[in-house]
Amino acid sequence: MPTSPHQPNGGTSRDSGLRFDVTMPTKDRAAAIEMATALDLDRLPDRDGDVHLIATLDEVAMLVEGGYEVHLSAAVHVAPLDPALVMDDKDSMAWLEAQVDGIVRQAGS
Amino acid sequence: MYRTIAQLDSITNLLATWFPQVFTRVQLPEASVEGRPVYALRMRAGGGGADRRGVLLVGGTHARELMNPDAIVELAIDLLVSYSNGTPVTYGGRTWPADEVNLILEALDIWLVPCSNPDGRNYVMTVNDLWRKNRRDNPNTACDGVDLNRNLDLLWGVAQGNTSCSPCADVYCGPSAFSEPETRNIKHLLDTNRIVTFADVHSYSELVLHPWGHATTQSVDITKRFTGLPTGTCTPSVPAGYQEYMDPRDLKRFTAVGNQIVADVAAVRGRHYTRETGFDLYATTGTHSDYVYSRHIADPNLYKTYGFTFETGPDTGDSRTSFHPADPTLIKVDARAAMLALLHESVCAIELIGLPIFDSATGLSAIRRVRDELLATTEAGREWIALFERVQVPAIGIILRDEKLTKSAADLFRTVAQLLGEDGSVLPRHDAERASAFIGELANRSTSETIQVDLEALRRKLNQVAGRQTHKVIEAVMRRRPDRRRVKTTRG
Repeated sequence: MPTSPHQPNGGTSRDSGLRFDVTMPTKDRAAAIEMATALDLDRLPDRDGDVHLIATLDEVAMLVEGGYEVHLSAAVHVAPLDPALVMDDKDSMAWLEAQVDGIVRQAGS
Repeated sequence: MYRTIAQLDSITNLLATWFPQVFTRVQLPEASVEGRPVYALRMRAGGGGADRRGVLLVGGTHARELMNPDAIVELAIDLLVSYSNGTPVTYGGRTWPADEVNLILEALDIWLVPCSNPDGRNYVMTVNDLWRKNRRDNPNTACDGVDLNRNLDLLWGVAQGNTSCSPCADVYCGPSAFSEPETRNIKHLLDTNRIVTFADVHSYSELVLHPWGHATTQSVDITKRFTGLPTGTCTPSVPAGYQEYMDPRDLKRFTAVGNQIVADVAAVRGRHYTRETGFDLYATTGTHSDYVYSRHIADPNLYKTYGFTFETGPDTGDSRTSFHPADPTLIKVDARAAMLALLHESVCAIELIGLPIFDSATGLSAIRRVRDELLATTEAGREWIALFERVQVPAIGIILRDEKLTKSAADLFRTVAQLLGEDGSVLPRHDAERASAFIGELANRSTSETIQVDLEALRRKLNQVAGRQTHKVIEAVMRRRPDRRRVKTTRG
């Protein structure tokens, strides 16, 4: 299998602090993508064809310094999934029981 | 609501314990980076040998794409309920009849890996809900994780577009191809089973993606193959303007199956997924769907696997609600429809009818040779292959319900194999008439207008070529596309 040395960028983890949903509405999409790639930014699909990123404030500053217009649409705090969106163990089990109700199970199971 | 890893594991465990006639749970050879077990669930029903066609559906590769592991276990239960109760699977406006679901379960080995990246899912639920990668500790950096969908051995480490060699990037390809236990588990399933179709189920953007992802796709210049490109360069080393070759029959198959999936999802509740190549979304290397399809090219001894990537759910304009909307119920229904559509397209009539009536694979080989070495070489021939692939599952559903039709199908199959095996053979008029009557009966019993049109095109061609030499029949099929004029059937 091919291997290659790491290219540690000396960058910082994006696993802490505040980030932003960023779009770069630019005519020169290829250049914007190149910039985002060079900064190793987390690029997301975008319904309008813009370059859509999640970036820290420092990274946003670098994009602006690079001459790009950036739109910040939301602050994205690093946080666990909203606990209200996590299924309860009892609900998970009850759902399964309801789905397979009436289907003969292996004896003894 | 989204299930925890423990809940997903509990469901697969209980399904295998309660319904061992349908489910077998397998712990994959490698634990995750943090030591969690990774499970696959195999679904199959009925008897039959070990060498079934396999379909592999993988979820949770990217941790934050939470819907798909849930959708995969829900699909497993939908199929179980349909098979056990003899009821159809209905998702909104799209219904798969019970006999077609039966056929899928009795013809295929369905391998489900609901969550290939359990550490990542746990991390999303407990620390960072936008985490994408696995939980690899990258030495000498402050950054953790490898993007599992960049870590496979297809132009691995070619850092172009949305692939990076930087450990801090969310699209970090890892220190080597298959450096991660989570990707080696998927390779293990591919190495040990005859996987004919594959889907890595992601979110979001409502897409059905197929190879290639590293370059645009062309079917003209066979010398342009990834096997000649450097890997591990950590630079965008795919030459500018490079276009990767794909066999035209494979491209046709990707297109036809992808379009069918799009149509089936649209029938559920009107969501319009887009089929395109991975490269159309953005340039990547080392992805699952490209790797699985590339295997038979890199090593001709391996099975060909048609690899897809689904991107379920819409772009809401906000990353958080796109990755994990408050209520993913309807998106999961779309995802289940997409996966069931792929299963449906993975059944092969030639194997189903042919294998039981031939002592060896010789008869099948003759038919496959005509398909792959002759029909597949012309546009018209490929249209006929696509037509056959479209009608085969509904037709088999009808045939297997009727003993007389089953016998007729087997007889016709033998006749075809015999004609193909004899030099200078002629298609006898009475055999052509027999086949024509058989096809007419299928059309009358079908409830789908599309299938009726396809079957009538087949019947029309048979009537034209009756009495001709077999090689002339094949030439005629290679030369002219199916005539799919609509016809009135005798059905009321």
